[in-house]
Amino acid sequence: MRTLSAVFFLGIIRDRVLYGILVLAGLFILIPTTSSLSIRQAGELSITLSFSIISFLLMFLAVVFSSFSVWRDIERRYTSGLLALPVSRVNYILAKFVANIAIIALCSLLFAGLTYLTVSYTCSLYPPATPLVWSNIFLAIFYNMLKYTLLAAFGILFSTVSTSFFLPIFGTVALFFCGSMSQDVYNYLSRSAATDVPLFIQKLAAVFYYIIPNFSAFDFKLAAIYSLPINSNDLWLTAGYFVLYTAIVLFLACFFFNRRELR
Amino acid sequence: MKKFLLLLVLIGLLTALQFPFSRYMAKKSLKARVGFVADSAIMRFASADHKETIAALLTIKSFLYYGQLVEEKRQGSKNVDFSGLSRLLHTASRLDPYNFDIYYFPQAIIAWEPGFAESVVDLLDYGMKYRTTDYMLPFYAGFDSANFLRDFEAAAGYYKKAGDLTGDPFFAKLTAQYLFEANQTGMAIAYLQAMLKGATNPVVRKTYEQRLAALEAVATIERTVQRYKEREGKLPVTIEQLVQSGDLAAVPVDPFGGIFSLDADGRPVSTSYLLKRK
Repeated sequence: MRTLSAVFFLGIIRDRVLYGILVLAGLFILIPTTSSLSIRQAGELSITLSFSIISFLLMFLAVVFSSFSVWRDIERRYTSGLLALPVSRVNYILAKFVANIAIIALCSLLFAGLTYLTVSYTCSLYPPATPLVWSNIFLAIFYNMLKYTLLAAFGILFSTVSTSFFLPIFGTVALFFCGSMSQDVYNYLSRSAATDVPLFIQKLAAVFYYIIPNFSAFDFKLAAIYSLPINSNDLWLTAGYFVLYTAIVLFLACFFFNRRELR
Repeated sequence: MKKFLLLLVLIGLLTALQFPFSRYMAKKSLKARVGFVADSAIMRFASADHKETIAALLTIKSFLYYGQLVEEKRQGSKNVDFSGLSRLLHTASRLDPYNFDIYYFPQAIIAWEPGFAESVVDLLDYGMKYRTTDYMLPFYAGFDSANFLRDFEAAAGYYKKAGDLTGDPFFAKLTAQYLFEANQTGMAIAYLQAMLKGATNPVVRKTYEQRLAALEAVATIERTVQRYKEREGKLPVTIEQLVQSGDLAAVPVDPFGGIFSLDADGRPVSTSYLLKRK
């Protein structure tokens, strides 16, 4: 599986789409100028913008190289050729996932470096109100990486059950939005003010809340931007949630891919 | 060659169009420039992983919108959609309640507009739930409560909160003064002088300087009225009366373009929007 992961990883590295996404990382150059538009918190704004760019680019990476690449392999019949070799379907899926983790981790590392440079530079020009806590910033980037790794796992799952690229691409993007808002919807419906919402809708929302991934749990941006304390319990719980959820999604992906008829 | 010429003509036409186009864009209303901003609950869902960025961009957009009107000397309530600005900043606060710009900008600009102080205090109250160690928000809310809403008990409460956070006896002094409703204009001038010291943004500085000049004119009239009353045993009816009696060299100029006069209690009022009494 290691060889297969390396092959997939090199395949992504050679892909022009990756270079397109990395060119977009040039947006980091604009951060100090854009941050100067803030009245009193240019330093904080530079961190906010860095996180936005990282999220935007990692989402592209997760969607394109998980869902799209598996679907493309099947469409071009690479998968059939590959599976004719002594490679199990489970290994194929896991190798795809490992290659995705590697590329997301590598890009996150690169973006963390760019964040360090741009934020340090901006804060040297406009010192923030509270001292920067770099460990919070890097932790937030790390958990962002976990979030998009989980999204990539879903991209792979969708591509194992779909015959077109619509479900893998749009399904993954839709899931990202649903997973990002599920906590807010759940909180809203749990409030007493939501009594006008029918009970059936409330129950349905609760079921969805537990089924779809809760991406807002991975969000430590506020703590990073405003140097707020992070509870270590939250970190461990979220890490545990990531491991278990990803394992289940990959299990399902392997299960469906094993039963899929390939041309 | 012909294709190259065509390209040059197209670039020339586009350049020529840029001037009327940018004028048209500059005249757009807040809604047209910032765009329709949905309810905060919807915005939270729609902004997904970019809540803090959207909040910062909304605040910057509203500030740039106001900044341009200040440059064009069109900052009066007739030209500025203050309700829209206030709604937009309330939405931004729900996306990122820690962003200080969201509170600083309305405090510097919107709170001074007649009828908007309550909404700004409401925004500051919301911010205080999150920025729990920041004394500036209760300090702002205290000033607005006393100066605009005339709720001195609430003002004293806010100043006490600011004092508890900083341990600075200055706030205890303010609390006591507000409880006795003493020297409102002097307090407002002291507040503006303090804010002006910390203000770095040119638009905010300009706004503070203009207000400070207006309040200093008001303070001059108030002092003169007091002197006149002590000497004559009655209140003057008009400001011109103070000029005729030699107490004032001339009728002070309202930097907001209004004309000063005295109300029935001898307090200065102005026809400009800023100094109208409630």
